[in-house]
Amino acid sequence: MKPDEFEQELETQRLRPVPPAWRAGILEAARDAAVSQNSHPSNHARVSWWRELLWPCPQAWAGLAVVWLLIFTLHLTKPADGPSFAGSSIMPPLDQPNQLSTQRAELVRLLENAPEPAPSRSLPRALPGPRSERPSPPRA
Amino acid sequence: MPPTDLERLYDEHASALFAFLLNLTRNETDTRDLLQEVFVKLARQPRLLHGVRDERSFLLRLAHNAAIDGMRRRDTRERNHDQLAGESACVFPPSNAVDEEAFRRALHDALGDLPTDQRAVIHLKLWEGLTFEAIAELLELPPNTAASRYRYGLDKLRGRLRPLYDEIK
Repeated sequence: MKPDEFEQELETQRLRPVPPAWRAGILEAARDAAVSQNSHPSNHARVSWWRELLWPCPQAWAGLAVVWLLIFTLHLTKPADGPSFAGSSIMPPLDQPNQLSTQRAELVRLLENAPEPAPSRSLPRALPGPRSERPSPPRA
Repeated sequence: MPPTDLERLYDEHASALFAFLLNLTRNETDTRDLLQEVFVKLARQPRLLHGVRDERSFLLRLAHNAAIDGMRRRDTRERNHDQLAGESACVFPPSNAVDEEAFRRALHDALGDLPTDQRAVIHLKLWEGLTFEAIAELLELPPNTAASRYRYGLDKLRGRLRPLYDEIK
């Protein structure tokens, strides 16, 4: 596209330069921003590591963490001498030697008096044998 | 980024960025904030410029994105209030010649009446000398869109300024 005279006239218009007083302030702000970022690189890295870890749903992970903290707090605040599930077993306590020896003697007595087991006998065969051993049906 | 690099970038490109931002925002305070935002970003992320072939175009792109974000952030009511309350900052320097000053003033006003997207293309074509392909890449547009925005914008400027231009010439 060949510029016409009007376009050329516009092109020759000079633009305002940046106010010289801005230079120091802008460069100082830029340097300060870079320094403040470099002074906390570990925090920045840690935050981005957590952000990456919790992606894509940080709210869900935060909710889970809250639930775990709640459970942990409840566990800590629970009295130590309270009843526990492990202590409420239905099995008799094993720290009674007299009762245990009595049960063992009873078991030996029962085993000595028990009758000898009968020899195993083969059961009658329920299923029919091979076709060749079957009696042939009467022919009409 | 070393401070010397930042200073070099500022000295080489700040005026171009200033004029572009001022043409987009028409407000000196906003322009200063956006210019500072660009250089703060460069200082914080020095790798941004790694592998960049054309520094000026890249910085203009950063400035354009910052300006668009800034304009979106501003509340519409506040923007209207600003526009009504204060005179927009002129993109062109004042001139002692009466005719030239009148033409610059009229050009500034006519540019202000253009939509921002047309104004951006006009600025980059006329005062940065970029091709439509470069403008399209910078503004993330198809080249044909950049060219048509330029033509529409230039026709509007011509319609507004032609009588004054003919009178002066």
